[in-house]
Amino acid sequence: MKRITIVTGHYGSGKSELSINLALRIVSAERPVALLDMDVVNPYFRSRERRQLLEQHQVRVIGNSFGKDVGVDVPAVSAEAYAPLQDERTTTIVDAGGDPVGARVLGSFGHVLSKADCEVLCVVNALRPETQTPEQVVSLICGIEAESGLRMTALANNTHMLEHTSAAELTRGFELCHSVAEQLGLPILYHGVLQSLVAEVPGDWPGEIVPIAMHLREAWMHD
Amino acid sequence: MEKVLMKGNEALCAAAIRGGCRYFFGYPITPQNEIPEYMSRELPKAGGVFLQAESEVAAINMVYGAAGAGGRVMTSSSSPGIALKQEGISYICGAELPCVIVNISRGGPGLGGIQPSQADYFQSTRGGGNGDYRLLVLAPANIQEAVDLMTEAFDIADYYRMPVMILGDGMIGQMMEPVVFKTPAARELPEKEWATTGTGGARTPNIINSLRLDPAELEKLNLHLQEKYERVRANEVRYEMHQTDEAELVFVAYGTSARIVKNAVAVMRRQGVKAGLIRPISLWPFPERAFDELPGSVRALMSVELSQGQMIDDVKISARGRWPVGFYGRSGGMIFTQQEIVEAGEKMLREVSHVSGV
Repeated sequence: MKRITIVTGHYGSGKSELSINLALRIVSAERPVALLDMDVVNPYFRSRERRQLLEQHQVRVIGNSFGKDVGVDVPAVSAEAYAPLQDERTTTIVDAGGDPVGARVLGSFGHVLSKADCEVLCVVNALRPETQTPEQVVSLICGIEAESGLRMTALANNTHMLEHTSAAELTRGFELCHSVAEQLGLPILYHGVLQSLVAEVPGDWPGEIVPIAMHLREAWMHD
Repeated sequence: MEKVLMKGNEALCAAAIRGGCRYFFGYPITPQNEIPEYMSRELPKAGGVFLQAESEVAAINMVYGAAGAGGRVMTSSSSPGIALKQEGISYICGAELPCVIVNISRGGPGLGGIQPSQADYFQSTRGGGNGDYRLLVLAPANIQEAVDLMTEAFDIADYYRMPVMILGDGMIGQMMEPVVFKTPAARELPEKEWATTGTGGARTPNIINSLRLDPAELEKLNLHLQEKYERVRANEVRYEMHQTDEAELVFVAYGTSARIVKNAVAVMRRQGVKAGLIRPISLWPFPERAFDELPGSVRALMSVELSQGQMIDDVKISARGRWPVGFYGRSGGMIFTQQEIVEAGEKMLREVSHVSGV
């Protein structure tokens, strides 16, 4: 795994949930881990809302410069963001805002990111109405690259219908990502798969399975 | 159309366009910003017009103009933005214009905060504008219901020539859920013969106006409005009875609160406490008749709101003294857990038992 993983994609694709799960997955005694929440477009359901859980697992969480994780909707990333991006020892997950407009903030860190060892992931959920075809996903990737100044290096298949996801839907997501991967010459690095569905993933899919626990869903939403 | 995963705000927009919306006038405010963003991108593709106005006041008056010209038009905002629109809403009601207004509400009063709240019940059902007017207020509790109500809202507005408000708290706007877009049963809608579409020299001009200086004329308008509101009361009441059979305690909750209360009801039923829920979907007209359907086993009602208690007034009116009415709420953007509801409900049942000596 590269030192910095930048998680981009269409909004609602599950970037924050994947970021939280990735961060908790890579926690180790050897290297510090940071989650840098750069989402300045979504007012709710941001990864920094799970600061308590992440910090319990020794993940450093960085949000906006106001020190408030809930209730502030301002385009202000904390200057603290430079610390994990520049510290060679820290494994960092960057949770970018959705769509090209949300990825724009990454551009202001270009001078740091261009010198670092970065994975730039595009998270894809084939069940979102605006990322259902390869053409839509490729167009989204072009938009994110243009706004962020970064080149996409890999895809993450995060196809889901929340807790209602079926195995057939997972496969549909894989096929979409496979088609985009072929077209752009990118690897599929991860599959975000609900814990309950992990057993149904075919063994021959390239990439790593990340079992997803839904940390941002409240208990009452599962009805 | 197949099932897709959508965020409340964008699903409302997709439903509005399917429901025939072709004009949108609005002004940004959190937590409803995805609505103007989506409309600015998608409405032109449907042959419609999106315009970001210079203020909420301007936007609602643009709605007045477009509705007067016979267009299917909507605006959206969040609590303090809806407060700014109140004058325009009263004028729209006075001029009998159809439109749809979406309020994705946040904590107040004043500028408040950006987290979800249900403290706009009074604003929605009592109105902040002047005069004897009503809004037809629909409050979805999940994204599928939001889509279904939104798709139908323009037909309802045209049918009665009055504004329909979709009231969702910030959670309904921001959360994501699977949705399927359905085609609602078509209403037979009257031609908009009153609209200012140009006379072509063939008829006397239509006038869209709420000014009636002759008191007899103004009273006549008011009597006509009341007759219309009676038809709405008779035909447009919507609600859900959830596990009210043999219930001893019946919660009353709408929107996101109702979702959490349903979970609390399930917990209580598992513990052997007979709890149920009346979920108003139309907040005006309020489902008074739902209370008449309650079984004899009911010993208490409890209004549960993300506010300091507003709908409770309508619950008390509907209870007509038949049951004690308790309250539980959080406000300012704080959201109760199902456990808080369970505890509040059990406490109320204990108190009722104590008073009646059971």
